[in-house]
Amino acid sequence: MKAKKITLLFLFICIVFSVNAQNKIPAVNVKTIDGATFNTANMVNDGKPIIIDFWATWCKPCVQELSAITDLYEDWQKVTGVKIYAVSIDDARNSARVKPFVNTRGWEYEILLDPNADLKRAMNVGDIPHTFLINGKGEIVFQHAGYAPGDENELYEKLLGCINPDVK
Amino acid sequence: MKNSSLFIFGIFVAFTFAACDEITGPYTEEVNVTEGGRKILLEDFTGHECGNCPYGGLEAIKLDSIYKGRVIVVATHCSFFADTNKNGKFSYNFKTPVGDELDQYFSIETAGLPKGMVNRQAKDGDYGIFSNRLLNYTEWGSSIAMELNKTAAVNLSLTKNYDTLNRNLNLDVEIEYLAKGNINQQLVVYLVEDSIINWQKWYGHIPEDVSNFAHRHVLRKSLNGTWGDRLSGSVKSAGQIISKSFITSISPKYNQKHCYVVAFVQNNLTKEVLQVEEIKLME
Amino acid sequence: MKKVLAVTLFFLTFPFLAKAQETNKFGAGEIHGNFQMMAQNYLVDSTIGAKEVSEKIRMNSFANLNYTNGNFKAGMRYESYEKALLGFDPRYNGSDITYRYATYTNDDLEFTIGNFYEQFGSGLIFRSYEERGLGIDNAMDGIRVKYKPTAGVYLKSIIGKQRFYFAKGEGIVRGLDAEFNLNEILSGFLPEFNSEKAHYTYILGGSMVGKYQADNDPIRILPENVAAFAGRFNFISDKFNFYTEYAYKINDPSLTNGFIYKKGEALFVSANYSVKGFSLSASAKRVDNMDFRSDRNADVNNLTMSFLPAISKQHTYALPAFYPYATQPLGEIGEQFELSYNFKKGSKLGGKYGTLVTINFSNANNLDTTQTGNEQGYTAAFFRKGETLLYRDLNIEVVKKISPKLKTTYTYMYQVFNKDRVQNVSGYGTVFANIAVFEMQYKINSKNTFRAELQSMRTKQDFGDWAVALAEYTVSPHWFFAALDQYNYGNAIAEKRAHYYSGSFGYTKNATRFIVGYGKQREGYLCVGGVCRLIPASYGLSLSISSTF
Repeated sequence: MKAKKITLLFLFICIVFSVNAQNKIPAVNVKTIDGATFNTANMVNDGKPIIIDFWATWCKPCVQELSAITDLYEDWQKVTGVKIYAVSIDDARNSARVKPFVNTRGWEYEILLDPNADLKRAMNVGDIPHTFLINGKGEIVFQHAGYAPGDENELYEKLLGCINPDVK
Repeated sequence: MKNSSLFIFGIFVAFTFAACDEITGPYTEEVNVTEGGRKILLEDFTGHECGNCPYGGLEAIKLDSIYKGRVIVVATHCSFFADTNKNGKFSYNFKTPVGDELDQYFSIETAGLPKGMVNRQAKDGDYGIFSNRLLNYTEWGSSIAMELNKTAAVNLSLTKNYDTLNRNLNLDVEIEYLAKGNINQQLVVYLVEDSIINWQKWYGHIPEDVSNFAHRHVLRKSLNGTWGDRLSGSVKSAGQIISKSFITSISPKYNQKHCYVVAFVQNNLTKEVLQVEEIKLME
Repeated sequence: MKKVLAVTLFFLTFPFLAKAQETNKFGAGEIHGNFQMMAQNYLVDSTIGAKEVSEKIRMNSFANLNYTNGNFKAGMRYESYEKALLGFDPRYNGSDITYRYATYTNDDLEFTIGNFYEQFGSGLIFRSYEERGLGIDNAMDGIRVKYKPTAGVYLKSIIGKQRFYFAKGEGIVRGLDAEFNLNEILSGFLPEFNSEKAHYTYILGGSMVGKYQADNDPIRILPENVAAFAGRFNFISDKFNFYTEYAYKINDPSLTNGFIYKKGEALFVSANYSVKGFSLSASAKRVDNMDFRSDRNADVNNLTMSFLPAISKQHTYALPAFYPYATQPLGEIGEQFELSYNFKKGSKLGGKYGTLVTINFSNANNLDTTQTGNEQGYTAAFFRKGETLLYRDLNIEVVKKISPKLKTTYTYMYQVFNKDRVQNVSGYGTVFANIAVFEMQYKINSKNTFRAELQSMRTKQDFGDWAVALAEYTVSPHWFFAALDQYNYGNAIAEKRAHYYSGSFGYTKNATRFIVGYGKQREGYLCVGGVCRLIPASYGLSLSISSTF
């Protein structure tokens, strides 16, 4: 038992020492809504920021969040050039529902399917919704778990902050 | 790089599908019952409102008949499946304080019914996970086959003197050590009644509620507590003989013609059973 | 102990290795992870059936660590159940490293050693996955190779054993999956097949999975090697999507199928059409003796290889989710339809802000079987349904935004739930329920929002009528407060007409959340995907912390 505690302590020391300024998106294969295999290393946006939002059709706050952002997305894109990847973790029960679900709501996001939670696991996401903001250099600069109406304002502030560091 | 990857991949493919066993019959094999001094205690945990439990009971009967005389079955009714209704079906009380204590100790209700124990042994000797010891009925056969291959460490012989009128039983148990025995060994003596006709739920039967089900091997009581008596406080040497005597009366509620006594020696730390023997009251 | 040491060394060395490599193309490595903890204290309440728990407080927690350095990845999970929360299998007991892996990727080849999760197609014959909240984890421990020999061809092969609580299952699992994206393959030769130009995609896939488990049974002759095969086809265009998968399993006598030697099969078909503001979808599923596990003696949710979720809609409100359906892997035929329409802003029904209407219907019956009386068990008609209805649900949901501040949702559902068959109990019969839910969300200002739910379920069976009220107040981006009451006012037994009230609040900062709750939890099934877990009634204070770093 003691040995295990020591192990854990060591592990935490390791983390402290290896925490690094750069904080990249891990390379994992997921699927696009068109069935193509997509490696997340290819999540690029010409030096402009990216938002990754983990969601599922059965997750109410996730749908709330994406619905709230959808009204603002056009403005956000004009100002910041941001691109949003909405990663659905719906499993085989619901993954066929994702495309009709997205289309009916008129969402314009890049939709990715992660039915066995490989990307979710690689990005250490616990419960959803979980949102990441990635700056133009591909570094994760902000993340947020859960959603309360109004959280999109905080996200937008951070988004502005990462294209123009003065606004922080 | 590419060639070697393809090679590795090829190996994988070959490994995956080299074998595939389609069985077209026969589906059963002749069992070679070896001679040996060791007998096996098969405990069948069951409940009258457990619709899958008769499958366990049937397996026990099958194993009992295949390993004639070498497997001794005790069916213990326990957990909420054995609770009684106030009236109507399932109002008969099969539960015993011994069964409740075994349920508590081995987490039987948590594991769900039907479950069984073969000599109270755990797979790989690992008692950490209760399901290593509480086996699904599909595993009883293989576990018995393994236990039968072990040599007996103890010999048990039972002699009885039963008075059918006053229903008094005098029982003598003689334990002969064939190998060295540690201080934790205890002798446990249970009273069992066979073939009690009463209600049983059975999903494999139409209708599901069976009114005249024969409940086999029902544990009635212990003559010396759930975990029995310690044999002696010192290490036993091979060849040593210990004798114990019991006096008890058989309740008139029990059909004395169907009653038998099961005695076994167990290691009280691990609860593993070393040897078991049975004797009918009237024969 | 040796294991612990090895892992320690492994993680100690890597940061340094990473430092040493700083000059090469990999750069320095990174470690990230997450941590989650749930603790509950248990009080006794006889009306709701909350029993005494001798430990008083129980706690589940785990932490994941993932290390990445260029093409190299490694990680581990430490799990601790210092007595698992009620409702989790007590075989989750103690603390240990339960998951560790290393992965190396080189161009088109990827190797993983140690633990991994994988899914072939929709998972009909193989899915290894985790649902921590349900206590489900059938992670593989072994080797996986993924290989992309040419554009559009994806191969995966696996070998190993599955996790069984803090140990491993007996059976050895071997599998292979191939997927062919025809557009990617052909666009190399024929540019018109480029999916961007063609606006459609064809995908074909096939998988084979085998398991080995020794036959130690003295009586039965059991197959030691059992194989299953699956093929799938997917057509995707801008508006239309068609997916089908068929799986076949050779004789696999097991505890769950009662040791019959019948073959198993499963068919899943799904089609949908959608354009902006409208969608129509249908799916059907037939499952026949398809419970596939790496140990023939496994029960409950242990050591599953096949993943057979229900196709009915996954409900999230408390009362519509009261009677959740789970696929009967031994046999069922089911179908599901959904129509969704978004009435445009400014139209008659759409009002000023639009109205979204979704109608969904699903149904599942048993198979039409004939008992054969021999080792084959039964035969089943392929297209004919059996007479027993297992589940039916018709639901309509209307989401209407009344003003920029006020949004309302109305749900009505009619449900038929064969409790005896779905939950494998008896004497409860079939539950017929009418359920209505009203939800409103009022945004007071840019940070403060109030949300309320009122739910009603009317049924003459089982527990009888229920009513639920929920109020929630959120202050973005940090706080939430919620109060919930579930009232079983229609229980036939007067003493059991209990209120299950609870209150909770939470604080969130970035990716860290704290939630404190107090109250009564009713007994019920918690389901994610197609898998359910029974949660016993409980009463007390709970605390949960989760963080991603």
